[in-house]
Amino acid sequence: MPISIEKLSHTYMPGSALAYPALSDIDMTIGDGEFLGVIGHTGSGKSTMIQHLNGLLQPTEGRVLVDGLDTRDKKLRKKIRSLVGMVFQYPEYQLFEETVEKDVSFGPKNMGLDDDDIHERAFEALTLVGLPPERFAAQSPFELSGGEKRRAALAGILAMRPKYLVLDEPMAGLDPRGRAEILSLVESLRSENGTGIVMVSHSMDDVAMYADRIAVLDQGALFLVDTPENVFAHGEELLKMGLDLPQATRLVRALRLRGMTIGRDYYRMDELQDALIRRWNA
Amino acid sequence: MTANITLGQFLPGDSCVHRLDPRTKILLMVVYIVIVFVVKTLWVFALPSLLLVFMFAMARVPGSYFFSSLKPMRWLLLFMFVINLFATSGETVLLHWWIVRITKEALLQAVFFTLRLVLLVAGTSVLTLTTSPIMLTDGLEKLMSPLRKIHFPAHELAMMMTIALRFIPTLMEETDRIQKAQMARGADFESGNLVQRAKSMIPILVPLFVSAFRRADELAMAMESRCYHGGEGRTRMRELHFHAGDLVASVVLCAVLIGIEILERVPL
Repeated sequence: MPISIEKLSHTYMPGSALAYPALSDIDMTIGDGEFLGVIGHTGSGKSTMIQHLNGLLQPTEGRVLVDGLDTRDKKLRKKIRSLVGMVFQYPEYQLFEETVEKDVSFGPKNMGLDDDDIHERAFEALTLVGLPPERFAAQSPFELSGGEKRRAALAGILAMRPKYLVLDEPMAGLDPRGRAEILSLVESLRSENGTGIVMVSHSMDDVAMYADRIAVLDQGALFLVDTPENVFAHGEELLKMGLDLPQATRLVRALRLRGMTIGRDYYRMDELQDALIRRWNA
Repeated sequence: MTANITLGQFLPGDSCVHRLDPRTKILLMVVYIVIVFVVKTLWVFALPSLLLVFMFAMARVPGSYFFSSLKPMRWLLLFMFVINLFATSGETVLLHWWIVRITKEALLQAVFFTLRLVLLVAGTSVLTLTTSPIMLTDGLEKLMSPLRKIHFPAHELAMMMTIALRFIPTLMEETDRIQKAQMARGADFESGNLVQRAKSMIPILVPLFVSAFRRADELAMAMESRCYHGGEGRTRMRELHFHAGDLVASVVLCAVLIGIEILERVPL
């Protein structure tokens, strides 16, 4: 069953002089095992929207159903939060335990699992994020390097074995290698475990490469949710919203300006590269 | 929940009270407190009351702030009134019912002390309503600077206050974020007994302290790389200057003080 967002509106501090509408009338479904990219300018409501997916924020109007469970129901919240794992920006700032293993176990422990199960999940999650438990489990999380801390924090979410994983700019502040590691981890979770992914990103290339569909938010409203191909066909509108285009799309536009005819639009560098090589050889 | 908490109760504005030098305002607040305390007779309170109304009007502060400044004190005010009402002995009985005995003297005394506290609280709130926290610390620093002769760290104290004020909203935001991150991992801050609830704060407090220390480190580094070396010889972006308004305000308050001294000596 999917996550369905129905007529969702959210206003911060409603009824006061500081009332601020952050989201209005969002309708969207996130399918099982789907990779949804979320893009939008700063302040477009991305963070507000994803915090509705596990009930951290409650809709002012409309509702959000996670596998049919309404996030407004207080009794269902714990269940929903174990279904939807949420990785915030700079998740390494949430580490607090004495050892990496204890920190990773925090989520499963809150789910009320027994000790053996918790231990197994923690080790599994650490292996998954590339921190071999034999070496890292007993270390203090504060002794790790920046990239390792991020992965340890990610393991803390994965140990809950969420059915959906929501990530808010998981690659911010990482070097290219760290970015690639996180991306391939997320992608393998989807392809191997069938985890549904919702990823907020400022990198158009990353979402173009991995997402099945992309949701574009603009000033709290859903501008479009469609395949990368169809989304990046709206190049002009995206640029007007202050968003970027993927490298491949920009290259196609630049080549066209110089009089080269390219049959269709591209949004992935690898595909454009193949097309250009074929053309060169022909 | 913690979003958008404005610090203190500063009301931005451009009235002549806002424009007064913060040093003048701090010193005049002391004079105002003296004024309220030298009043010995109930009807003489008319003068400081008029002064209070005048200050609110000049500062263009809406009257509703008079009540909101008293709100945190409401229980203390009530308590003071009731204690004075029942604990003061007197001759003229106004009401006698069962063990309740209210005398005229007690009633007057209760009104007197309550009024004094109301005037104190509402009057001093004019200072915080019209002076931004930064200006307030600037003014305090200047006022305390003569104490440097006896090695009192006036500048350091003011700098610490400024930095602390600056970081309150940042740390509030941070707390909110960490709290949400731990809630997403199933942390529960609302149920359980007192011990369990205190324990459930650990996943918030540890990351919060870690990040506060990190921020402090970064700030110290940033200040040092811009050659900060304490207050010695440091120039300021906002120089404090006394203007004609400061003189006028001082004259008004001193006149009220003298006026009260005279009224208190007039036999009625």
